[in-house]
Amino acid sequence: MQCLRAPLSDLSVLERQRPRVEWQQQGEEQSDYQPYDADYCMQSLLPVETAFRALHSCGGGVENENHGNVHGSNDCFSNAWPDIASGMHCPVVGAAASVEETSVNASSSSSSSRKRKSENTRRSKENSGSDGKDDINCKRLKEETGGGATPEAEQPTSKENDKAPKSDYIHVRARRGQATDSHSLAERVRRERISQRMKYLQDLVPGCSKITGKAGMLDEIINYVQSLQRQVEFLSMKLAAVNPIMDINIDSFFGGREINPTCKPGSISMIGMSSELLDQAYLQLGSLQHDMFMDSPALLLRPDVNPPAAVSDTSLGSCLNVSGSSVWNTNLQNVYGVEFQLGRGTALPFQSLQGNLLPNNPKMEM
Amino acid sequence: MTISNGDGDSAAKDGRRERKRKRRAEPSLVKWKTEGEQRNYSSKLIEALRRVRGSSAAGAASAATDHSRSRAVREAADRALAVAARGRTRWSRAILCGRTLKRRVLPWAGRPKPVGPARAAERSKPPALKTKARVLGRLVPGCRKLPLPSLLEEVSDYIAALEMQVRAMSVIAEALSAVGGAPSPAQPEGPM
Repeated sequence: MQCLRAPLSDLSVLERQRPRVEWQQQGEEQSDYQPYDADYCMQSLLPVETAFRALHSCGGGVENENHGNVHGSNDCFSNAWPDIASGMHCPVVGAAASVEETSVNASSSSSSSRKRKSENTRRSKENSGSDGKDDINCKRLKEETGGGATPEAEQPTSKENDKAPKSDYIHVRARRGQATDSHSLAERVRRERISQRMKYLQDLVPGCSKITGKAGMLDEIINYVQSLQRQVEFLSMKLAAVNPIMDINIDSFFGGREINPTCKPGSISMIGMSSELLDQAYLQLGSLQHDMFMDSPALLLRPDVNPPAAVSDTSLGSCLNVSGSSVWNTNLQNVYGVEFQLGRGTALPFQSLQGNLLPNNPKMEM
Repeated sequence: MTISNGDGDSAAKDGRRERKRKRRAEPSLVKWKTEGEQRNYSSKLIEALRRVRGSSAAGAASAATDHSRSRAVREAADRALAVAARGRTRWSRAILCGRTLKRRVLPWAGRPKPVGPARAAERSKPPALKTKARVLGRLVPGCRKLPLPSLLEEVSDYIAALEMQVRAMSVIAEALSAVGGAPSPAQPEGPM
């Protein structure tokens, strides 16, 4: 966790370190990054604690290093340490809060420093391009620590600390500052939102649990939506084929199924029916409806309900007469009429209602 | 430490947006699975079907070829679905506003990849994602130029609604065909 909340005063420290850093730069790219990394990171870290560590690592580095630069760096370090200590003290005081963090993170700093080290080398060579990555990495680190107060000020400086040895840091830092952190943060938030929704969709779309990655998921989703739409088309074709026969079918079908027990008279009146009749219908059919809903096809077959074949116009007429549905015809232009009939054990009155349905269709317009 | 102003604003905005989105997304998806909603949709669909039948009968079934009839049925079903969605989602509003766009989109929907920028020239990751998002946006009515997060939300609601539509239509079709076909009941009640 190298992104420290270093105040801008670190710049002076860094500048002071730079000549020493450049000394180390020579050996930096050649081999064995790790000790260097530790040196760098420790060196760049603000708190005195890291300076201590740097000393230790320098001592360790002496053995590991192949280059004489290490010795030089150690010397530098030892020489620089008082400066660093003194120089760091100022920022340390200001960054007292971050000291603990760095101490906590110091253990992980070496590994992360290695990563950063490779980035540093890349950056030193390319001098650009990885700004976005830096920002992202910095973002990540920042977010891990719960965000930073002044990301633009902190991250560049912290990054700069990490890469203090690089003279390119200055340029990189400027560029990094321009790649606004708020944008990357917003990007990250957006990406998280997208992944959230993708996970949600994963549960929705069958067979997507094994697929990871947005592209594959999107493919699966597209396929699924297309298949659903194709299913709807197929079913609509089927329904259209059944439609001509629907006169009978629908009526018998209506008896069992589509009436919503939760449908309130208010909603019914929306369809242009008289609420009074509907209330009556409800009262009569209320008990029956529950049974009807259970099993629409079975209902159709009940002996109470006339078989569909017989349900045709004659039954309508009878129904109309029996139920006095003349009033219904005008008012109840919907299933509810059927339910009335069914309630009385007669069959479907709808046939007669259908003629009335047409003029009232606009009212029933969905 | 607190987030900076810029970040805080965006975070607050995102939080607000997310809150709104969460409120929209969760209840609507649950609602598509309830029995009551399916029955509600079925009743609306049957009304529409009756109307379609009436219109086709009035036209002496001459203009009503199988194709046009099935298309009319499908449009009625989609419109009923959009009404059931109560217009809270983009696709439902788009369906209710006009079907011409959807008709134009349909021929393209079959194509897996659009004839656009991703014409096998570049398959790098971001464009591939973007083209797929565009394809998906074309599939869902009224969601063509939507950014990915909102598009995914619309898609999830649309998928749930489509599933319910398929369930309801299959039940209706089965019942109707069973009734019309033979006195013996096919008992496909399904989710009911």
